[in-house]
Amino acid sequence: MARRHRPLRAVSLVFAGFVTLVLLSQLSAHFFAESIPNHLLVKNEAVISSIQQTSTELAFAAAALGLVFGAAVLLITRQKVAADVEVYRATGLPFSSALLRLLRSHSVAPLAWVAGAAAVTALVDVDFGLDALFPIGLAVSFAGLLVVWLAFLTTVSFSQKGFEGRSGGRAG
Amino acid sequence: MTTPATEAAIVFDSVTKAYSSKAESVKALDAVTFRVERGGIVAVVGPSGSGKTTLLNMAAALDFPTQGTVKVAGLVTSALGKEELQRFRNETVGVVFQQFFLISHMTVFQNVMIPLIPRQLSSGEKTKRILESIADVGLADKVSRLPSELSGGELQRAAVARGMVGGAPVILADEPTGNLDHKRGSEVMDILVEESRERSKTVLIATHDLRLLDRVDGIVYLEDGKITKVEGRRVQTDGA
Repeated sequence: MARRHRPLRAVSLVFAGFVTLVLLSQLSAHFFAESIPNHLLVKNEAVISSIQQTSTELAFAAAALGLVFGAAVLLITRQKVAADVEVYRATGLPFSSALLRLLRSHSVAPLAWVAGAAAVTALVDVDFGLDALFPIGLAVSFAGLLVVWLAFLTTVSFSQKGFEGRSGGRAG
Repeated sequence: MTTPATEAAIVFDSVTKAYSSKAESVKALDAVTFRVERGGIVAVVGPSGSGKTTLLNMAAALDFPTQGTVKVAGLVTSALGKEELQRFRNETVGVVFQQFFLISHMTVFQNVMIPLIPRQLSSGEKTKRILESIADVGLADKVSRLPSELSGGELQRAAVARGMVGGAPVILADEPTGNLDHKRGSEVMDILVEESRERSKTVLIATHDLRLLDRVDGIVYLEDGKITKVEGRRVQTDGA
């Protein structure tokens, strides 16, 4: 059985990977902050603060990298996705129906898993000091970006003339 | 949305399509006039760049004339509103693209289903129609296959099934045999001819494959966007 190639699912996985990095950086910061003072005779607030500072920086860096990588994959897969939209337009599907089909075909499920994992982590240990809102917010933002991107591609396709994004279509 | 018996299925009346850039204006079609009778199978022949695809895009209401009118099944495409245009593309014409344009992550069944998505039919009726269409093109055993699992001929046949499943009175096929060897191309042509003969569909084919011409009722010769000759039955160039 051949694999189903869903270009935006790959984007979704890239985003999910970076949200996971954010989550991991926060978790690791928590564990370091918890464990280091146990090995030090004197609780060192400066060290803990420094760890948390580094964790936040790592989280932001992962989020930014996720955006850059995700956006790059979105651009790379643009033609492939646009061709699908063109098929929907040429066969007479309404805009809303075409967009819905795209959203259903290019699942954002991996982002939902990560957001769910972050929420569960936060609930399991409320004393963690884990800022679950950040990874959840990031996952939601990435999902929003995907939806906006698909809406943009659908709008472009439905407002143009010709086929394949070229007026007059292919030569011939 | 049906074709009145007295009306030609496809009418191009002085259709010009010009593309303008900063440097120049190019006419992809130049005062093209012809009409195809209902139930006819007509080929538009010409070298690459002669305007065949532009002509088909016009007939499919995917593009519109700069001047002149295109009338398909009695409907002037440039006069259609947004919803009428969607209904036209969905119900009046079935399009078969040269490059197949099957959606890669969907099975043959799912690809053929696309034109039926907006239809108010029960899922049982949709399934029946899809399976019939797929069987008509000889892919009954490939219903669950992905496009990547099909040969070139099978891909084209799946694309033909998608073009026919909606029961549109007009089928537009852009180089339907362009990527196929003679045997496979002939099989695809058989399907289109059968559709025309047995179901009274009007079929307009853009092609540069001269081997197909003995299978069609009429031929429109196109060069540099202009009709140079029209021959055969069921197609006329005067009085469009």
